[in-house]
Formats: sequence, C-alpha cells, structure tokens
Amino acid sequence: MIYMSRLSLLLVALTLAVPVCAQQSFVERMNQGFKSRSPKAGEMLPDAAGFRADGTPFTLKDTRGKLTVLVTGCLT
Amino acid sequence: MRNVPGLEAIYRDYKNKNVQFLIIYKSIVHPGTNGVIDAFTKEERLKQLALAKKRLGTTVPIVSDSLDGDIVKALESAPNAEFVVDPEGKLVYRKFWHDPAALRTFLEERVGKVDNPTKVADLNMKLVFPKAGAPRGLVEPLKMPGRMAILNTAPELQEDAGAKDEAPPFFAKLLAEADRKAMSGGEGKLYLGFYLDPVYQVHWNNPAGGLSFSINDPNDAGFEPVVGQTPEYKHETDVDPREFVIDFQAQKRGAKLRLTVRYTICDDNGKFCMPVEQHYTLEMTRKRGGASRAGQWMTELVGDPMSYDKNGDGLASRDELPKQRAMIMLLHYDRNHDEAIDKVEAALFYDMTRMEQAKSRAVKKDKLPRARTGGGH
Repeated sequence: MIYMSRLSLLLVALTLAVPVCAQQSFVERMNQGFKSRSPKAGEMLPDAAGFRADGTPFTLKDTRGKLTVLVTGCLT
Repeated sequence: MRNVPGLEAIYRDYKNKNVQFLIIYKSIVHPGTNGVIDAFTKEERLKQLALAKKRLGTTVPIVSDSLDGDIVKALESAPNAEFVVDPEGKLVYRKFWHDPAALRTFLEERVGKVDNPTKVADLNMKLVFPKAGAPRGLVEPLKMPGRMAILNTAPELQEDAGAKDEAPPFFAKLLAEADRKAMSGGEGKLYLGFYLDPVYQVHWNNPAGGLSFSINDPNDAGFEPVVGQTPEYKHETDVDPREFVIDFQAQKRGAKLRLTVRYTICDDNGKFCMPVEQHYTLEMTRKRGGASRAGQWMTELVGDPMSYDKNGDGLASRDELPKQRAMIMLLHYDRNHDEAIDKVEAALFYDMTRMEQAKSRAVKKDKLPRARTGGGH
C-alpha cells in the first residue's frame, strides 16, 4: 500500500515535471538555435534586402560606415 | 516589440554619437494578436510600418524586411533579436532577445557613457491604438480541436497593374491550418480564419450577409466542393475574425486546392461598403516558419493564465507570472498593455477544450489526474 502511494506520488511528480521541462526547453531551444545558426561576433554580417518606410530598397550593406544597432520585431 | 521604450531611451542617448539604429520590421509571429496579420503586398507592409510607428510611438527609424523574410533568414534571427555591427560590417554583439540594459552596457563600453542617461519613465511612451471603427469581441473565438499545422496559402493577387478594373485589396486575410490526418489526405479537421486587416480600417457588414467560402480542386473534377457560411449575426457590425473548423478530406496528400471567399465590408469612415470575392491557392502542406492562430500554442505552453493570479485580484500581473515566461505571456495575452492579464484577456485565447481533452486522455492512460500544462508551481 505504501509502495503504491509512493509510486503514485512519483507519477504525479513526473506528470508535473514533464510540462515544466517542456516549457523551459521551448525558449531554450529557440535560444540554442539562435546561438548556433545566427552570425557570431567577429563574423561579417550577411547581406539581404528589404525596403525603407518610403518603399525604396534597403540592404544590410547600406548600414556600413557607422556602428549600427539592428533590432528585429513586429507589431505584436 | 515590448522593449521599444528601452530602445528609444538608448537611441536618444547615442544617435548623435555616430551610432545608427534600425528596427527591422519583420513578418508577424502570431497572426491575430492585437488584430495584426501578415501583409500580402509591399504596399500593405508599408502601411503596417506606418501603423507600427504610430502605435509604438517611437522615433527609432524602422525599415522592413522583404515579404519573404530575407533579412531574418540571413540573420537566422529570433523574433526580437538584436545585433550590433561595426562600420566595416562585422558583427560585434548579438542577443537572442532585445535587452535594453545589456545593449546600453555594451554601448557604454564601446562608445562611452553619456551624461544623464535617458530614463524610460521620462519618455512617458504609451502604446497608441487607433480607435476601431466597430466593436471587437462580439463573436466568440473558436475552440481549436487539437494540434494543427499552418498550411501554405497564396492569395491570387492582381498581377496586371494595367488591368481595367482594379481589384479590391484583401481586406480579410486567410489563415488556414489542418491536422495531420487532413494533410495526409484522410478525414481530418481544417481550420479557416479570415482576419480583417487593420491597415484598411474596415468592418464587417453583417446585414448584407455573412462570409461564405468554397473549396474546389481544379485538378480533380470529382472533388465535391466544400462550402461554409457564417451564421446570421444579430449585431450590425464588428471586426472579429470569421473562423471555421470543418471536417475535411482532400482525397490526396499535399493537394493543391482553390478557395473562394465572399464577404461584405464597410469603410470605417463611411466612404464605401462593398461585396468582395477573392481567391486563394490552398495547399495541404505545412508552411515552414509559419505562425499559428494567436494563442493556440500558448495554451499548450502555459495553460490558463489566470492560474497564476496568486492574490485573487482577478489579474495575473507580471510579478505573479513565472519569471521565465512572464514576457512571452504578456506578449500574447495582455491586450490592453497594463502589464497584467485579466480574465477577459485570458478567456480570449485560453482554449479550455483542448486542456480538457488532454486531461481526459491522461486519465484514461494513467488512471491518474494529470496536472494542467504549465501549472506554474
């Protein structure tokens, strides 16, 4: 009986622990992916194109000449 | 972009110290959050940019990624990452999630400290939400039936600029998802959500008839068209998404279908009302890097936000939320931007049905009650 209740407790603890681990690993996974794939300090920034607020073309190379802070984001 | 005030403060302190700042506006991570959905055209993206500038109240210059996300792909960027690049184009600093305090420390070391640094509180920045032309929250969000994947969809845009009659823009935009069975050609579930794009400032014209859709397979004459129609709404207008979850069988894996949608909208300023018919290619294949219906995955990740309301005041505040998840939870649920989640905000996205399903599955399997996902203990 005692054995059963301990087993039950263990199962409950595991059930509680698994989702928490999954949540932590989600952000951690994103972070790890970013760390391994995104350009690292010391590497040249790759070039890619977008456009400015007036619709004219913009490329990452356009930022050369000054120390540049780039932050990505959207409206949400 | 919750940390824009922090970035704004640094921008004001360093913009005249030979440092340039750019926000790269990218595709929407979670369509539907704050009513924003991804642009179909460059013109729409430019309108979103203007909206972002107004809403965020920032003076930091904003540029846009391409519609295909070329910049984000090249940088392998996270949703809200930051990078500092030296004048020669070499990366000197990067952060997975924009962190104003860490960025300021970096710039202080690299460029030098400033006298009297700008404080966020001094900026008194508030998010500005344009007044909606019609009420929100009158049509209850649908409960999602289970795990679904975002489908590849493509609007049939008017390519010929010199066409005689200019086609109306996609006032309502489609987000389609399907479960594994439906994607493999078997009997499964298909989610269709039509979201009004806020850049157009229009609302549904309910008395003129609801929204209807039909799905055909242009390559299979034997495919029985699938049709759907919203119920009759008693209220005249609103701006809520029109959503459907239907039983669906595409007959074959990865089928390329054609969806036609019809609806009527009115301009918020009373200039026009018009019926619209538009078409999409609907591919029963998983979209890479796509973003699911707002809040859907959050349900799985964190469960009921109100379970974190420790003092019982009806608000799950930043202090009460688990530290590691507070930022991401507020990002998704906190629609009035008061740094807390209230019951209405929680109910909007929290999908009780799915949690109940998960619980009942667990009971059957383990004969034990299962904790809600993300109980936050």
